[in-house]
Formats: sequence, structure tokens, C-alpha cells
Amino acid sequence: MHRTLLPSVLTVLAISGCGERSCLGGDEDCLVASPCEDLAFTCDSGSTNAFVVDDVAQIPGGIAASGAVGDFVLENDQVKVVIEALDHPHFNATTGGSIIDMVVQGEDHDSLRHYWQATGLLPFDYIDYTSAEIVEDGDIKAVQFHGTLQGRPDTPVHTRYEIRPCEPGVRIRTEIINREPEPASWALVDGMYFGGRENLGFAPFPGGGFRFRSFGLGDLTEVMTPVPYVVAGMHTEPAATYATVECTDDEIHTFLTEEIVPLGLAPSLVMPRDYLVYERFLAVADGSAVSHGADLALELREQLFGEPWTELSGTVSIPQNDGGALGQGLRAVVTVSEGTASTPIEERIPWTVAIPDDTGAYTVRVPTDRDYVVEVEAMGRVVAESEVSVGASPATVGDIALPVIADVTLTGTLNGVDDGDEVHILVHPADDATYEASKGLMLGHFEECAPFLGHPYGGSPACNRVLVTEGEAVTVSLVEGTYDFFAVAGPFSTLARVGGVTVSAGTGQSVDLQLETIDGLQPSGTLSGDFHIHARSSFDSSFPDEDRMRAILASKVEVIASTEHDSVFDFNRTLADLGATGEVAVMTGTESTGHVLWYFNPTVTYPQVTGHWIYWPLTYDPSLPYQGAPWDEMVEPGMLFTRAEEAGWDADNGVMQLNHPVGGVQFGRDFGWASAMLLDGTQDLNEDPTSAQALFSHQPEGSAFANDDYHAQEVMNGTNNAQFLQYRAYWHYLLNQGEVRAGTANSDSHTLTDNVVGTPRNIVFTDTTLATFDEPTFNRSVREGRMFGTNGPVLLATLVDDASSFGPSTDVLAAPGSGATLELEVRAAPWVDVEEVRIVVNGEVVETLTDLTPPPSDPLSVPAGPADVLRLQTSVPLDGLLPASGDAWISIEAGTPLVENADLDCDGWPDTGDNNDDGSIDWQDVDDDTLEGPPESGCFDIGSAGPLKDPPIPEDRSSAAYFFHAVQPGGYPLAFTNPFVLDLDGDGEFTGVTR
Amino acid sequence: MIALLLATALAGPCDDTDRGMAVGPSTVNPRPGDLGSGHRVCPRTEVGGSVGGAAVIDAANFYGNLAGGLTAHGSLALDDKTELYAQVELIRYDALISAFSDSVMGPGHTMVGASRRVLEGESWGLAAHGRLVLPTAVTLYRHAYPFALDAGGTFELAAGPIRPHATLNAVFSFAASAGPADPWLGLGWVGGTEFRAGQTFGFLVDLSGTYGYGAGGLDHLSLDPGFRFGFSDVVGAELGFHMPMGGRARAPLGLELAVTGRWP
Repeated sequence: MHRTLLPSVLTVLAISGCGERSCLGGDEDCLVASPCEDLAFTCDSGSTNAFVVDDVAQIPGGIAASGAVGDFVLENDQVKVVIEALDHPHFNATTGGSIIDMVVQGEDHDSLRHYWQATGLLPFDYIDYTSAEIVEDGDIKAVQFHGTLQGRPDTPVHTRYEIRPCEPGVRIRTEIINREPEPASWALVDGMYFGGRENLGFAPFPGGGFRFRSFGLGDLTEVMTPVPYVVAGMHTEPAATYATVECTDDEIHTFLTEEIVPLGLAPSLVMPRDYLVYERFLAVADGSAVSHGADLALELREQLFGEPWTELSGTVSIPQNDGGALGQGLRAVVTVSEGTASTPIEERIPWTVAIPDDTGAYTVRVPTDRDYVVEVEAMGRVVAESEVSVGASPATVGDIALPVIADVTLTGTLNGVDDGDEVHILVHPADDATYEASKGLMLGHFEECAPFLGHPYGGSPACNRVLVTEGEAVTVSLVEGTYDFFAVAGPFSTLARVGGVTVSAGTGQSVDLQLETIDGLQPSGTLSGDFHIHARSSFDSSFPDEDRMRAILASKVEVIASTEHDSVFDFNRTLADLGATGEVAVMTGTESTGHVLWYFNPTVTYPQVTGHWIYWPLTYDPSLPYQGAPWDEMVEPGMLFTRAEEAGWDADNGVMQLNHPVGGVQFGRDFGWASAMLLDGTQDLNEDPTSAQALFSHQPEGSAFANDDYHAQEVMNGTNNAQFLQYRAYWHYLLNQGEVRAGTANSDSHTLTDNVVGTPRNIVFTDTTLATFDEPTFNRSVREGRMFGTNGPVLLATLVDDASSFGPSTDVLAAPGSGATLELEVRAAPWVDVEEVRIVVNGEVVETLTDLTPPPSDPLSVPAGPADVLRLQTSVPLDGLLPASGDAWISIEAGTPLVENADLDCDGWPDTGDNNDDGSIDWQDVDDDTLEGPPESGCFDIGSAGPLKDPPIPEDRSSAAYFFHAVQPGGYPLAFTNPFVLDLDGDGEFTGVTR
Repeated sequence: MIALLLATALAGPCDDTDRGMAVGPSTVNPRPGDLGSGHRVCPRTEVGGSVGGAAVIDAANFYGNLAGGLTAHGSLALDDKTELYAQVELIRYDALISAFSDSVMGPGHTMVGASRRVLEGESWGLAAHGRLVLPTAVTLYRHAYPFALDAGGTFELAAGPIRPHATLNAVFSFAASAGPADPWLGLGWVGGTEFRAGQTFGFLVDLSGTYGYGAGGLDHLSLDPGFRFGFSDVVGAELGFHMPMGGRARAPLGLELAVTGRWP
């Protein structure tokens, strides 16, 4: 009633003298006003075009390219922008309508993962667009979207993306009206989503640039900072840089993180019937450095606000005889900050960052009439600084000399034959002094590298890692010091080391690493596999496809599952490009990664996501959204499995794997399903719909699957084994509950620098071979758990019962006779020390074998034969190991003794080690400076205890233990078998363990 | 004491022995300008001030809305039946707490109104009244300025120490904006009674609500208890509460303390 009363009269009253209404009046068929009217670019032969993609060839390429047939394209003579179709939402958005790709016209350097609108962080702050249309007015082309906030029909939102001739970007206007009866608080922003390991956000503000402070979710309003512009740079080639400037206000509000950068209006209290309008220009420039985008931003600000700029030029130079070339990687990076040498860092205003070209020259734009400090970062460290006063005219800062460094030329071979193998080389400082001298951090972010050879998440060389092809040499630059060079080709090769190489500034050296495959170490009838691998198609990786495949080839893993986040990519293409078809079997799948928070857990009042899941096979189709994967948001696992099947996943012959089930949360999004459920590992599963314990087996309405209809679970994830105890505890818990799933071991590698691909890996007993690879046969072995996981030890276990023998699997075996034995065999390469073998029954270690043959004294030796790799061969009677009643299961583990950790938050999963080394694990080991005593209840809040403690990292750089750590950073030798599942009570089924 | 009560029981609604204590329905109302509230049937000339606030806490949805302000009010009795009145929110504070929060402080709203007693008996009266609320809270609004008005009537009965009353209003508002005017029209009511212990203390309980205004349907239903004090012939005070009982989920909880000086 109230909305129709005298609307036309009131409308006349309301708009008298108020100008153009755009879509604010709520009229159907309204046109969103054209934004940024004060901008004007001219050129010869400008043109524009707007269309719906009907051919994948129309979609630009690049590290972050994700467009699909059906998306919208706006382009002119300068740029090309792809905007999602309504039914192609990505990441944090629940509908399409966001920018998914953006390039300089003619380039395939898309580096923009996602650029979407929101008003806050909670589900009802997201925008659901419900209609879209292309609008043309002569040379002005636009796509406009209409919708509302999610679940709030009285909050209309309208967005217009507009392209004009000659412009280096796209104009955007968003309007939102509060037609609800109560006030709202909105931060109307665009979200630039990087996902981590991709672009870095940069903004000019005191103490800013790339620097940003850490904060909690309760500090968001305080950290929103007004800045003149925001630029996102990739710092690895090929790449584009993106700059955003607000058109109607000379400040845009933002906060910076490595994963996401919101930019837009300040948080605003919006009364009923009031509205917000946000106009901005998003520009794109070729090149990975911030300066490319900052130059455009200053040009935009001059047009919009009359702010003058000028050019500042300079050079960096390398003294003679220093072979470290400029223009490569991050040999030199120049930051220009407003201030003087005496200005404290927290008061300087960084305006731009440039990467000098191969002659050392750079030119940037800066605001006029200010003093600047020019800071040079080389190899991840600030090495020089100079001051300059800039007036209205172009200025020069002169030459800045870089410290002299050294070159090392690396080569490597496998088996002494130059047949194009890839070799993965890891470089480590040989002493503490070299470590201190060589450690670097890229622009203050990501991870510390010692030495710093290149962007830690880019292509080779990255951080301290290098990929070398047999017959080819790679030259890297190092600061003066002494280094050790290591290489290994997976667990079944020797380890090569050239140690104590002292490099002096201004000199060059050569290092050659020779590897040998150890025959007979990998069990016959097996294929090694890594079922969790990422590259540039994932939102949290900028690792080029070619380098990803080279790293896989270097690891000698034989089967991979390509598991990009929320999308599909087929690495067979990359294999073919490298001429390596047939050397790796590629299974194509995806990793579902929840972004959109929603309410599904009856035991909590806040929204969540449902962890990460991997499944294969899926067909790669670049014309489809997510390249063939289903949209995977806001569903319980059972419905995810249903959507996967609808998208083509073969439920009968494929694999569904639960990843890292416990721990880890980012921006309120759990990485693990068990953590998201808040499953209590001290209580049994049940079917009480009000209980978290019931979520495990819940079948969502309309779903063809239940949440527990998966085949496998990661027990080892990552090279450093950091959360093995937690994943293992969850796997054991489920086995004890009678829920048998295959256990897997995967690297979860995203770059050359984080986890080493193929470490850990699965050794799968299968009838298929690499030469005649049959995926359904292989997958059947995986689903049935006919494999063990390892990062080095080869662990073979057989249950011998009378005349029958069985390997570990998910099969339920009849109760063994009294004479049954476990036949155990452990082998390992000389550089892998296996200190003990643990026999685990029903989750408890019932026997530990320590009488193993020690590794050879020389970890670099080449075994002469099988005897040289054998560490243990023994028979263990089962009698006495099994419980007297109920069912049982057995798993075998081998490697380094595990460090004791306790469960201080009482959820059933270990979380805290003896971190203060006082001999006990208690509240004093929890990493929380505010603690003054133990919790009154005796248990910490879920997730507030920790951290876990791992076996110590060896400090003696000449020790064999250190050599293992050098090629598997943070890791320690570890292997586990899948279970022997025993129907001890003879009732015909395995019902778990009596608690 | 009995004589005093008897004297009160025989009093009409406009008896001057009410002294400084407030009369009529509760005016504690979180809406700007007390939109939708009742108004006494007996004119007075007075000035006063009040301080009050309201809060909405919806923890499950990470939403909190706080509002408070300092208000000056006054009225002028033109004759024994007719009154003009006005209210100026001198300063107003609003805060919205969510994932992103914001707060605003500045001048508040302005209200002007008039009432006239149109019917009466020995112990009862019926007044017609109306008010206009102007969006002078210029720091609170960005682009859309809401104008509001109400019109209705209030009935009061003096039945000894018990003084029931009832108000019925039409409530209307719209926004002057380049955006939607979004007119809201609804029905408001206040009904309750006051208990008086002599001329220095009173307690009242009202039930107020609006229907069809804002989100439509039952917009709010609240219990509005209050305490009244008469300190002399001219000075009175009132402490009132606004306690949501129904309607839309985010109805505010409010309280107000008013002090008034009256010209007898």
C-alpha cells in the first residue's frame, strides 16, 4: 500500500532540481548514468565493441584468465574486459556481473583474478545480480547489471561497466539504495581478489605502499584507509598491472592484504531511502611493476582533480665483472616515496615502484613539487637509497650502484644421459653468515628466501629453487657467501650435493649435479602419484603451467591429478609442448574450495564453508565457466558430489577425496571439513540432526549423495608434514567409527617454492602401467586404498594368514588365525633415515620396531643393489597385538619418531606440542601472550590452542638429516600404509572399534 | 490521604492540580520527532529538555544500531483548548555496528505540531493533533531527506487515580531525493493508563504500535512504561521506556528522561 501512494507526485517533488536520476528511482528499464564524466581521452582511430562471447578464441589469455563462452566482452582500441555472465559467478560472488579478465588489447597477460562488488563481508552484504544487458550509445558501449543484496529484495543495486574509445580502462558506476525500514552500514567496494601468491596491492599513504598492518575481522572499519589510488602488480612476467581511481572523490578507501584488497567508499551509515553511488575507473597497463599502473593513475587524477605530475628518471648499475643481469626477475626494484632520508619509514608515502629494464633505466611519474626518497631493493633486500627534490619539471635521480654479486651457472643430469630430463635444484646457505647476508623478502611480502633468486611464486628461478633441463645451463645471481647445492628426483633417486661453494662478488662459477635412479627401490607393480597439485589456473598460484610441468617431470612422479581450485586444466597440453607426452599420466580434476559463507551447521550461528574437496576425472573445456568444473558454493559435500556428477565426474570410476580435513582457517573460511563441522573427535558419530556429529553422514535435500560418500582422505599433505598428526587422528577416528576411507599422501604444491611437488606421494599397487595407463583401473586401486603414502621410506606390509596373503586396502578381511603374521619390509634411499617402524592398531601404537639397518654413512652414495636399500625385513606375529573383542584395523608407519602433541582444546585432534621444552604440554605451550593460566574448564576454546610441534630441524648442515631437510624443507622421513581392516568378531562386517 | 484521593477522583483531565507532572500518553518514541505518538488533550505552556537513546541488537546477524540525543521541546497554549508545540533535537548520535561500522553525530530532527481539544465532558476529553517532522539532521542523510507527518486524535479519561488514554494516528513519510521517494503510510496507536499517587508521582503503562508503516504489516508493538514526577507547580520529570514486544525483528529498545518547566 505504502509504496504506491502518490508515487508520481512525490517523484516530481523529489527530483525537482536534483538532476539525472540514473536507476536510483527504481524505474524499470532504467539506464545507469554514465560515470566519470570529467575524463576524456583522445586518439586516432579509436573504437569500441560490446558482445557476448560465443567462441573461446575471443577470451584473452594469461595467468589468471578464466573467461568462458556466454560472458560479456567490452573492448576498445586499448583494452579488453571480460565480465561474467549472470550464471557464471566466481569465488566470493554469488552471481555473475564481476570482471573476470582484463588485458591490454592484443595481449594475453591477464593477471586479474576477480573484481567484484560488495558492501561488506557477510553473506547478506554480497550482491546478487538478476539481469544484465548490453547498452550502446554510439561509440559508448556498456554492460549494466541489476540486482539486490543477497536475500534482501529491498536493496536494489545497479552497476554499469562502460568502455569508450581511446581509454586505458573501463568506467564503472554502482548504485545501491536502502529501501529497507532500518539503517544499514555499507562499505560499497570492489574486491580485488588475489588469493595469495599473486598480485600485491599497493597504495600511497604514510607508511604504506606494500606495507600493511595485520588486523582482525573486528578492526575492518579502522583499517580502511583513504588513498589516492590503488595499484595491483604481479612482479613476474608476463603480467598486467591494474590501477583504480575514484572519479568523484579524490580518495578511495582500502585496506591491503595478500589475498584480497577492497577498494571503494568508506563505511557509511545509510538511512532508509538513502543511497550510495560509487564511480571509478579501472585501468590496465602492460608490465608487472606497479609503476605501469601508477603512471595511469596519475594521468587519471590529473584529468579528474587537476593534480599535476611529472617524470622522475634514473638508473641502477652493476659494476663491471658482475654477471647478474638487470631486467631479470627481481635483480633490482626501485621504490619512490615522498619524504627525505630523515623521514621515518612509517611517515614516508610510497607513490610508485619500478623494475629497471635490462640497461638499468627506469622512468616513473610522481606528483610534482615534493621531496622523494628513492629506495633500491635487490635480491629481496634494500641495498641503497637516494634523495631527490622534484619540482614541476622532469627530474632525474641519477645512478644508483647496486652491490656487486656473483653468478653461478647450474647444470644437472639424471643417470648420466642427456635426454632432456628436468632437474630440480635447491640452493641453501652453507653457514649462518651467508644466510644472514643472502636472505631476502620480495617487497616485504610472501616468504623469506635465502638465497633470493627470484620471485618466490613465479617461474624458475624462484626463491632458492631452480629448474634445469639436461643439456642446458641456467645462471643465477647470488650475493657473496658459501652455498650448498642439492638435487633429488623423488624418493627413488640418489641425492646430489655440491657443498661449500664459495662465491665471491664479481666472479662466476659452475655447479653440476648428477643424479641416479635407484633401481629396485620403487616396488614393482606400482605407480607413484600426487593427487593434489596447483598451477596458475588456481586463484592462489601464479606458477606458469610450463614450469609446473617441468617440476613434475623433475620429481619423477608418474601419475598426477590436476586439481586447480574451482576450475579444470589439462596438463596434457603442456606435456605436449614440452615434448614429454607419455612421461606422466595426467588425470584431470579440480579442487572445490568454498568461498561464499553460508549457514549449514546447526550448532553455530555464524556462516561457514565446507572445506576443500578434490575429485577427478572431469573434462577440461575452456569454453565453459570454470573450464568444466561445477559451481561449488553454498552446498554441503553431498550436494557438491551431486553437482560434480552433473558436470561429468564419473562417480563409479572416479575418486572423491577429502583434503586436509582438520585445521586452517582464512578470513573465516575453514580449510578442513572436520573443522567446519566442529566434529567432536571424542564422541561417536550420530544422526541427531541438531548435532555436528550428524553432519558427517547427512544427505542434503535434493542430493544424490550423502556427505560421507567420498572415497579417500589426505593423511599426509604438504612437504613439511606440519599437520600430519591432525589428519592422521581424523582418519583413525573414522576407522574406529567403522568409516573406512583410503588414506592418501599429496604435496598440495602451488609453486616451485612452497611444497615440493611429488613430496609426499602415493605408491599405488595397480595393474595398469604408465605406458598403457588406464585411469579407471588406477582409480579403483586408489579408492580401495591399495597404496602407501611416503616422502621417502618404502613401506611394504603384508598380512599372511596361513596360505593367504593380503596387502593393505579398504577390503574387510576375516579374522586372522592365531598364526597370522605381519610381514614388513622397509627400504629407503641412502639419504632417507628410517629410525623406527610403528604398528598402529585401532589408533594406538602397539609396537615400535627400532632395530633397523642404519643408512649408509654417505647419504650421497649410489646403492650397488637391493641389499643397500633394505632397512628392515621382519615378521611380526599378530597374536598379542589385536584386541580381545570387537573389530580391529592395523596401519603401519615408518620414519622419524613422532613428537608428542596434546589435545588442549579437547576436540579429539592433537593441537599443541611441548613448545617451551619444559617436559610437559600445557597452557604455557600455547602461543597466546595474553594467557595467564589454564582455562577454567580445563579445555581451550576450539581452535585457540596450538601450535603443534614437529621433529626438530637439523642444524648441522653436514649431517645426513640436514640433507633430507634440504630437499624436503620442513619435512622429516615419514610413510604410512592404508589399513588392514579386520572383522575380528566374525559378524560379517567391520563396524568399528568399541569405545 | 483518602481526601486527597477523592479529590483526585473527582478531577477532570485538565484540572490544574496536576502541577508540574506530565500528563497524557507516553511520548517515549524512538522515531524522530516522536512520530506516531499521542499528545495530551490539555494544552500547556512549557519548555523542557530530554535525553534519550535507543538500541537494536541483532547479534545473530552481526547487526547493532545505537541512537541517542539531546532534545529541547516547548509548547504554547493559545487558549484552554489549543496548543502549538515543537521539538528540536539539539544533537544526535547514530552508530551502526556490523562487519563495517559507521557513526554520525550532528544536529537532529525538528518537529512542529498543533493540537486542539474538540470534544470534552466532565471527566474526559478528545483532542485532534498533528505534527510535521523535518529532516534537519543534515549530517545523517546523504542524498535522501525524509519528511514525515502524523495526524490523529487522543482521548483521555480522568477516573480518579486511574487515567486511561488512547491515541489513533495516521503516519506518513516520504523522502526528497534523486532516489525513490518510497512513501510510507500506516496507522499508529497508543493505548494505556496512568496511575497517579497524588500530585508528585505517577506510573503509566502504554501499549503502542504501528501497522502498515515501513516494512508493512505490523511494524512495531511495544510496551511503554514510564514514571512521572511532579516536583512543584512548575517542574516535572518523566522517565520512560520503549520495550519492543512484536513486529519486525529489529525494533529498538528505548528510554528517555525528560524534565519540563511549566507556565501555570
